[in-house]
Amino acid sequence: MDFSFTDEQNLLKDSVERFVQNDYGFEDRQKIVRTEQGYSADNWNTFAELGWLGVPFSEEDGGFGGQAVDMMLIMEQFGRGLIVEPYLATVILAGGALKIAGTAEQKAAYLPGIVDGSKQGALAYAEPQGRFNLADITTSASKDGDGYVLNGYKAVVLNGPAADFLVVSARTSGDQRDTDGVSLFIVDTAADGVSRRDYPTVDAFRASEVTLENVRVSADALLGGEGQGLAVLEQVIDEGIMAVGSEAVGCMEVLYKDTVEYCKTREQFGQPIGKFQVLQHRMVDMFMEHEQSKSLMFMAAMRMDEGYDDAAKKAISAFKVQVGKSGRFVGQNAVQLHGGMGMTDELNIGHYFKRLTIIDTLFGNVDYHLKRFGAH
Amino acid sequence: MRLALSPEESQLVDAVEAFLADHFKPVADAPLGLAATLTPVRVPHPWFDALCGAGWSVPGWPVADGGTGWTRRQHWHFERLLAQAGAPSPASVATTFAGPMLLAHGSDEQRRRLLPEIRDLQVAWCVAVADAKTTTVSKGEMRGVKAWVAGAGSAQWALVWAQGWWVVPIDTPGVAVEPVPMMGNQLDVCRLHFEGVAVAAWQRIACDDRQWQAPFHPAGWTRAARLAHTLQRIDLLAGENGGALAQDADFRRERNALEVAVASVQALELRAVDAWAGARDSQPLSLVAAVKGVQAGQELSALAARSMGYYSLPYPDALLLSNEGVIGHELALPAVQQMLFDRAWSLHTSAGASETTEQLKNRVAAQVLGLPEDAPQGD
Repeated sequence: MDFSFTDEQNLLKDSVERFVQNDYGFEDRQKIVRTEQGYSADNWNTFAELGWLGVPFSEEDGGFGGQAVDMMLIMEQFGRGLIVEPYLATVILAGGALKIAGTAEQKAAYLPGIVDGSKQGALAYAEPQGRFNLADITTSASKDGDGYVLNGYKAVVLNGPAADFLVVSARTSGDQRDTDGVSLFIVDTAADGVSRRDYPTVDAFRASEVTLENVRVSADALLGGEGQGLAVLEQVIDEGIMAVGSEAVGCMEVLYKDTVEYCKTREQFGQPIGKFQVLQHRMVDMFMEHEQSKSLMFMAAMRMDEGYDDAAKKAISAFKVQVGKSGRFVGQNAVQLHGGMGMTDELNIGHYFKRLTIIDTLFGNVDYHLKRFGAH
Repeated sequence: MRLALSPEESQLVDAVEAFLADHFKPVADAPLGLAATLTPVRVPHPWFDALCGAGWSVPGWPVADGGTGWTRRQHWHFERLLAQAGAPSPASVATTFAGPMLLAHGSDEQRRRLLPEIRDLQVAWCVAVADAKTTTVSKGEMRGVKAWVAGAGSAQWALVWAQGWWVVPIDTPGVAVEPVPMMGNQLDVCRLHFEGVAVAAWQRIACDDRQWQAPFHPAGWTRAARLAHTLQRIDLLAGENGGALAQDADFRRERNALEVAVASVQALELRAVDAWAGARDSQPLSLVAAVKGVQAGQELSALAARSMGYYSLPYPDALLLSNEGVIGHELALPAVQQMLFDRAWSLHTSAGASETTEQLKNRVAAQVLGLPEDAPQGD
């Protein structure tokens, strides 16, 4: 048992931390958010140059063979900076599906582009009726000669607007919620029959509603075994939870620290409000919620790195439950203690609150993961 | 970052597990049940004798005085494994407070007369600090009343603060032990009366610090392991009657949320241990683990008591052990007693000091967050 980081991990953490501190101030971020694209291509290139886009991929795939702990370190810092570049969608979700289930050819076709920053991806897994059930899929993929024809509708596809390709979950057999019969396909966003309706999300990311109408793909678009896609999807989503959960831990750290600083300086009745015990205990509770979440983050990352089994799934769900609860508590109280200013878009606080709120929903909220935790 | 144990840790874990298998028998195969709860394990006891036989009675002490020479991580694993098994720890007021004070400040005579019995787990000690009536020593006689003395009913020695620290045998004429009945009839808390108790010069310890702090002991970071037992008790209860309670959606949600809370306490304890073992500041994490552990523990034992339904009513009392057998349910008494007893946790958290959780939060506000002091902190 050892909670220390390797030298490489410390270097990685320091480099992301430096970027966030020096190049990603709140004003910089707000400028990026208001652009047409919604993220900075310059920053994306910087990520590529610094090697961050290749961290989770094996060395033979052009990456660095990083593990959950490495992703955790990156995402925690991204959370502190409230980074809007589509790292989650491209590297962790779409890239993750390829990493887990891709053939050598598929990896060769997509991973180098992800690692060098030239390709954007997205995971189109959710459907309007499905809530958090990954198997609740009505999108169909029917055999058509050597290939497949896809029809259906995918909801809230993160990074849909920028994506060059989608990893789509579709049903090759079985009924709407069957665990068997789910298959994954790599679909070019420029393919005939793919249409999108793009929009910004509450937390300043970009997403699309994607309609697939008689989209023809060849047999080599099938990612993983036919009908065997659900297990892959579940693992990718759990890696996504590890990522956004770590991001949430970074968000909470900023919120509790900024709130403490604010309350030390903001005066009422001739004294700093940070002197009032009722507010002090609230801030102590915020600090404790952050540490509690961080502790389960470490456990989840270490369990994931021991192998993706039931213990890892349980640790991921426990982490997600904690982050959902703590994120809500820390976010709400940061707004409350900042008073009216906490409500404004001018201050960073509300933006962190929005991101934490969305993170609770992403990949299953507290309610969902309490049940999943109990089932494992 | 890894959960896997180092060879040094594995070796110790294997040895302790083998030792537990050989020497520790959970009472009547029902470690969560009535018999286990009502059979307090007091020194001397065959289990403690076995620990002494292995040389594991005072692991954190200097090797020359009976310590094991273990690393901090090894010492913590030892405590963790005992807690997981439900086995009593040799950590007590005697071994973690009185002993270390004598090791640090005791005279040769005090060390010679007192340390061997403590090391061999033959005696129990209590610590008497808070005054109910000011305790003084004048002309070789101690007078006064001490409040909140835990364990005085079964102790042979008291460590008494009376304008300095004194060691006093409980059976000295003039010492009277007055038990203070507590909710749940479980906690051995007493008032200690000193009415002209003769004390000799050798009984005075050369330490003038009323707030003297014992070195940190890793038994404080085993709460998660003990909470897991309460969770087991809840699952046993909920599984009865065809699992009627276990299948209730509201119950399941609360139970699962508490299991997550226990997991987070365990994770906090692991981080605190890691910091302590690496000689880094473990205090902030230890405080968080204490507060979160207390909260989770109180909610868990309340859920266990509620799970009993009507049989949470019979008052925890020796009558329940009459020859006619238990009234109600084998698990009811421990569950209800535990719920009542656990209210004390938030009044007396075990993060190195007897503080309420509110006082503890004052400390975090000042020491960790650097917030200005509000009200006087009190003691």
